[in-house]
Amino acid sequence: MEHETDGNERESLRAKPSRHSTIMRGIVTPIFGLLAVTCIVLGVMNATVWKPSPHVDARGRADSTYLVTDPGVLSLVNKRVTARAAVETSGASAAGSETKKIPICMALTTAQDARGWTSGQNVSRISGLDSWQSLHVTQAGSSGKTNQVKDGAVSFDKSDMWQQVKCGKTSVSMEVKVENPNQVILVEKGSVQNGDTTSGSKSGVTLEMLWERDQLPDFSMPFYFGGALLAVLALLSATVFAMEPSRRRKRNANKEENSQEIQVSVAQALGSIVLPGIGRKVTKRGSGRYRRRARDYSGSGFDNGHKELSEEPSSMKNANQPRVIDPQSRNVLAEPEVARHPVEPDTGKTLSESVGDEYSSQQTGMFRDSDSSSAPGHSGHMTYAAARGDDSARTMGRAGSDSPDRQTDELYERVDGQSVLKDTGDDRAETSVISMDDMRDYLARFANEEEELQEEEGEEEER
Amino acid sequence: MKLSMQILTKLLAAFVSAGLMVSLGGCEGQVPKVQKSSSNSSSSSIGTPNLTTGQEAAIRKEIGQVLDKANESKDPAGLGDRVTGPQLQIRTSELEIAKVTGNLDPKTTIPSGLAQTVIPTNPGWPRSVFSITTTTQDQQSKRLLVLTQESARENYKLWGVTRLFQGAQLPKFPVPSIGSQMGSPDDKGLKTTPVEAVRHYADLLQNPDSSQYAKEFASDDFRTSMANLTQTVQKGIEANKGTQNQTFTPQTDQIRVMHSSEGGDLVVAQINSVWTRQAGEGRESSPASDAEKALFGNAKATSAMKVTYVNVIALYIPSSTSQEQIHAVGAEREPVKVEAI
Repeated sequence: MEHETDGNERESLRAKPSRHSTIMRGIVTPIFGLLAVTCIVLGVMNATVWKPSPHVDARGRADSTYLVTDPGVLSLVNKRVTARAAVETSGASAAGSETKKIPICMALTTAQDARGWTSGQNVSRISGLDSWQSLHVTQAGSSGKTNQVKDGAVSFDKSDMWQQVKCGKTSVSMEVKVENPNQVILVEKGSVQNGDTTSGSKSGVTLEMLWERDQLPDFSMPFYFGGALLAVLALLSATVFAMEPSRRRKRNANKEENSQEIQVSVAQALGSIVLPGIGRKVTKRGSGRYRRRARDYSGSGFDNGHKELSEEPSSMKNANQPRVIDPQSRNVLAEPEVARHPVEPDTGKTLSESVGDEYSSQQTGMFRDSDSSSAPGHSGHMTYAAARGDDSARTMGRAGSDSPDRQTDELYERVDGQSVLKDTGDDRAETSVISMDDMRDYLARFANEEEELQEEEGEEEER
Repeated sequence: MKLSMQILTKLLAAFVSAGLMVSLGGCEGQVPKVQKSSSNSSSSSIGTPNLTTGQEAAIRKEIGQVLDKANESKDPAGLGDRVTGPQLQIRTSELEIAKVTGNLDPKTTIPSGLAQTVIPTNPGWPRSVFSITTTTQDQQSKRLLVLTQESARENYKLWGVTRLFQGAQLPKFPVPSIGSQMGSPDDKGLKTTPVEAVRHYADLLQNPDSSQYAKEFASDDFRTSMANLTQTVQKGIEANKGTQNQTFTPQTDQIRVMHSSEGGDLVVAQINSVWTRQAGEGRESSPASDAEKALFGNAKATSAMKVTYVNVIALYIPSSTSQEQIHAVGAEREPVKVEAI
């Protein structure tokens, strides 16, 4: 019956979508979708058009005769570096008719060797990168007197100390692979050998260092991640978040019930083939309904159990939900007493089936006894019956009842001329499903008892 | 309402993160900085060798070219580029002798192959490099070459060459890629300081029988050959009732020291000696060897002859805790001046 109500609800919801759902689907989802697309586009732009350039070209300028890099500067970006040094000819010196070609030399050497060569001279140092385009140059101290170079001195390009040396007219370029962090580049402007110390003193030296970056920062990946995340969010807000929370919960509950039911059915089916009683172990304990069903299936054979299973699906489903007792939805065929005696003619049970049922009920009788010891509601029932009459009147006879109404014989016993519900010994008494007629009779009796009680009390009071 | 709040916070987070990302985009990234501490500490504690093996080979090649050129022309004029110190004197003398005799003495051969090189890491000047060549083609012993660079603005020059004694045990040195340490003439912690060891050895050479330092030194080929030579000449001089006298003077400023990895020092030093031979009975004193004869030339012989030699000794001085004696591993001896007095 719940199925039907669910269906009704769903249909009613589909008919008019809630405001929540419209907001989610109509506004939030497009926003997320748009953001996701923007992110992906930005990511693609960063990977292609806005990709950081792998070429680094940094320059520095100095006025002194000597220019040296600090240890570690050569391999700042990459181990391979191309160094270019050029002499700047300032405009003023072009006044002379001859434009002197000032030689310039560059050498790869160790820091201490460069220091030794330039001791007593003005040296500008390159200590690092100011930005990707400019080198940081520390200009030489303007010490007026520089040491005079001895006569026995060797020229720059002839010195034994350099690992690599190159000279050129006005500019020189050298490719270097740095193996040692101690390696530096030393640049000498002008030839000092000939005692010509004034040549090139007015022009500056530019040193240019070119690297190729191996690892470029990847700015597109965060955008791709963000885009993927936003796309997932858009999807979620269009589907899951757009639903009513209550419906989500109910759907979860339904899912759980279905899974449970399926669990039981498979186990039950297997159990009735392989081992009797194995299906029973799989089911949940604690409710009479389940145990009753298990008992039904255990000895009755595969077909029987299967049939009875198919005829009572709704009662199993309500295991986790609060028990709704609908007197109208009682499954008459599942009750062992009724099944024994095919009173209701429309059930159309055959003789063989009734015999089978008799057998099953014998079995259930065994189980009932064992269950009765543990049934808490049993005592309640007993006390009620005891209150009504004494034990002598109670008979648990099966056959031999001279009442034409066999059904009532089995269900009810005659106590003091009244028809009383038999103590069947199981704890079905907690919540039993009875027919409307029985209910009316019961209520009628109850009303009668009240009257009798009142009469008795009245009599007693009068006495 | 709760749900809309959740949505709002999500949107806000998305916008903020997008804003951050946009600000990053278009940048080149951070400019790298020089790691100063690592480079300074490494250079000061360990130090890099002053030369690579390639550079050392190039230097030896250049020296070899200068020597070959001088050998061919028998002209010592161009030697000054790449030869200095005692070797300059020795080589000049050898060339003059060769000019007279027509051939260079076989002992002047310096092989171009290398057995071992010892390159220091000391950053200052003057610097030395000890290189040991292979044996010569005619199976002469290995040569120990000492190359020096006097100042940063000068090049390496061949300072000293000693022929190693046969079977001489050289101490161990670190490989040239790691580099070794130069020593100084007054190193402590050894049997004697290097300059003292050279003085004692000179004394021992001068007074082979009565020197007080005889116990400090193990016997070596040089002293043995010197003793033999003196004995031979003594016989000849006694025959004509002459006298002979040798004085050995260590040149304490011409000394090069290298620390070995065994704790001792390898020392190469110049010891000048003057051999005065006086012939008795009015005889002439003549040159004692072909070399002396070549140097003397056609000068007029008198009764006395004074020959000046340049000796270069290579000594290994063990550490003070060692049980070994100081022993010479190589030597070179060359007359540089012969004059009749």
